[in-house]
Amino acid sequence: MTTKRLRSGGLGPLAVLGLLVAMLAGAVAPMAAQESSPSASPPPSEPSEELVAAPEGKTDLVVGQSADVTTLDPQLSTVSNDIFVTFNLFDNLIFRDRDLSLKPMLSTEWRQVDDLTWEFELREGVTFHNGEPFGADDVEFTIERTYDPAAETRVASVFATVADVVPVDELTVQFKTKAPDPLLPGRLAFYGGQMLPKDYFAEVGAEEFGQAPIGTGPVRFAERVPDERLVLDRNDDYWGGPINVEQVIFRPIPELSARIAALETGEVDIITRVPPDQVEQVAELEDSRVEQVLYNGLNVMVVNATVAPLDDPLVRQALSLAIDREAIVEELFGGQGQIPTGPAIDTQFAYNPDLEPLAYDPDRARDLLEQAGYDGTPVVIETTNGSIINDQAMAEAIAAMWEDVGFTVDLQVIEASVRAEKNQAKSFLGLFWSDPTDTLQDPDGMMWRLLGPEGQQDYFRAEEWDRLGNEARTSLDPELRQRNYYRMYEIFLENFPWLPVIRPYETYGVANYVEWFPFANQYFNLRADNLRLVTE
Amino acid sequence: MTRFLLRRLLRTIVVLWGVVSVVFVVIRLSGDPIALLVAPDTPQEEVARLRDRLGLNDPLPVQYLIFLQDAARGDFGTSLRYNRDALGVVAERVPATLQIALAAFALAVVVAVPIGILSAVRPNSLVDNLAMLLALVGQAVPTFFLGIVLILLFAVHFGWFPTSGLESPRGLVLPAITLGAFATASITRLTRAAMLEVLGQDYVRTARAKGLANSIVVNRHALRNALVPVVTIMGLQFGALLGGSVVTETVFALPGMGRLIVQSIGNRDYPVVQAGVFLIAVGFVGVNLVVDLLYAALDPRIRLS
Repeated sequence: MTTKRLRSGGLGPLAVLGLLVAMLAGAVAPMAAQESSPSASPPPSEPSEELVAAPEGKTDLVVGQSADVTTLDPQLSTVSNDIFVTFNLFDNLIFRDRDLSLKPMLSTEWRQVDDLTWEFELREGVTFHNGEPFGADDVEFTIERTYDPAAETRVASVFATVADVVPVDELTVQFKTKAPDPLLPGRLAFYGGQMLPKDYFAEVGAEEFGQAPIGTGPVRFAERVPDERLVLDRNDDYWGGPINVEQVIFRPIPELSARIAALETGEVDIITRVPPDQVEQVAELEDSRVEQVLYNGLNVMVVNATVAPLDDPLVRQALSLAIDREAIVEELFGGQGQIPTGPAIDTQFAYNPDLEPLAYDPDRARDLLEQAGYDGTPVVIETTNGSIINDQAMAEAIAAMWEDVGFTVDLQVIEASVRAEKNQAKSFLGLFWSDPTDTLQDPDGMMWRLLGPEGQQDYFRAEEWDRLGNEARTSLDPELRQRNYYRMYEIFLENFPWLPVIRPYETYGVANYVEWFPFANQYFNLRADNLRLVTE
Repeated sequence: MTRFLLRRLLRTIVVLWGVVSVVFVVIRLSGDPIALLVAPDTPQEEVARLRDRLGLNDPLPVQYLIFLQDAARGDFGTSLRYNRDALGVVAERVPATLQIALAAFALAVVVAVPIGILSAVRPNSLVDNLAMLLALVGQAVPTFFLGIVLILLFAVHFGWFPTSGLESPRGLVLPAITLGAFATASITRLTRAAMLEVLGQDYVRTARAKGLANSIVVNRHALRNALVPVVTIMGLQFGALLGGSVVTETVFALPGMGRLIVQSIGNRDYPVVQAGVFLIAVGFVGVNLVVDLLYAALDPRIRLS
């Protein structure tokens, strides 16, 4: 398992430099590579470099993102640039903390009343940015809107298990589910679960709400100039306590060098999406540091197992065995990633720590190909360029590795919009990139969400696999669920509906006068316990 | 003059019709916008409903006629992405694009014309050689590279200008240089060439033989005659600056039209692309009309009839 993070704990700048030099020389990599099994590593509690005081008069926080926010209506987008903002304009009922455990947020307590009913107590005294109180009818409105066909939301499947939302009193709400749903609290902690103001929404309508929304979050909407800036003011009345910056400004700076330059000059204080080959450059900036978090998901090649030659499980096994993931992690990601062990990640329920990182064995791949009687039918890769970090470079490397063991590979580059179209029509010709995110810290929120029957990546079906997955989805028995998932990992490793390639690190550049930590689940948390402008 | 204007107006309408029609066809050939509008797991009946609502089920010729009818009234439809009037979405971006285009153009004219004249008056001198070398570099350096170099040098190293954004007028300087470099170089070279040609003409020799001062010969007799091709190229360059600022807008994170249109092509946001290209075409055609009018002012032999 290759793990390498640019992180220095409490070390001084000289030590950091030394570490960087050592990394550049490749001295750290072999040691790290010997770690045999992954472990759910606790999030760091210290910034990666020593903090310094902010410049005099600094009262705002400027964030440089790679693209502009498309909408502020949290139900109309699941794009990370957008939810980075909406998870701060709004609160969820339940909070997924940095260690990925569930914590109270707008709901202080929740329990299962019976197999089909969850009950949530709401926090008292919470108000929206316009002063109106938050209550059970807002919860009802929010959840029911997600799956209302007329609302055309992008989160319609999140609460597909919910039959009805019933306000019991002002501050109590019950969720009736269609079948037992062990994962409802987790669903409420992610996208689709940002709580909207029922009355205000009815007053202004969806369109105006998307332009200038109000929520209960630590920042409130102030101003937006498309493609230039989005200004959010501090919510002084935030139930969790006000933050110590007066304004948060999101600026889209699409060009990477310009984004890094803006961090260097102090025009922005946090930049997102630093690619692996720029991590060292940002780490070396005098007044800034990198903060990293392992991606809460995997980069995988999805296999259309319904077309020849990919319909043969031996061929799919050979494809996996022929990928030198170590080389991809080292050469293309500068060591900034881990080799997956299967379709799960170690921050999930029912992760099997005994599984080994996926093996590289070209000789065995050749044997399997012979056994399968592979006749040279081309294997088609449809890669995007830039939709996922290094997608095309990885595809080219992998194509060469496959040709080495005897595959004929047809590598095609497709536009992101074509990929979206093919995704909708399920019409991929062979292999394509995906970066499945874990929405629930559970195999059901990643593997089964996408690979299950009717899922977005429903290209492989097997009777046992389907039965186990469906049973786990609606079972309230953790032991049964774990047993099922362990067996599913075995089936996965014989059939490879995905070819998991890497679990990369996500990297942010942060000014040293800002104390802030990234969240693996894309909260971009700007609450007082995660954001502090250092004042002295 | 009136007849000239009328004829030009007619020609303008034909050009604009051609432009919007080509865009209409080309963007529809590029694929279906629906996949980018809905979540991947949206049920098929929902997709069908949305397709119907957006009028994508009509045959293409019908869609085209409806589009022309609306466009003639200035209605380019509702942006699929922003859910607002497409022309309004584009119009918001005009100020930023216009600002940097004007700044770049002003820079180009102020720098290029005097240097071009100076080079022509003293051909093969040190000034001339230096100017032509710079012009060559200006034409050869990719906009993208120049922008990054300017940011690193003048924003990061010297700290004189912001790295991106248009919040202060100082923010205009680096984008204007970046965007204007090519135009400056072209206009410099053309001014030099045109002046050299004119300076070799008989009437210039006559003017000199009459004993006129060099400055009068150059400014009054030569320059005015050399300006016709220069003004032509300026018009074309300004049109190009209006539409060609995508890279500059991206590097400097400016909220301009070019960036919007490129994003909208990626999103298959037909209405915005159509409205945007239409506005740029209007600008281009308008500038060229001004150029034609200027010809007459510069050279009385050209009649606008």
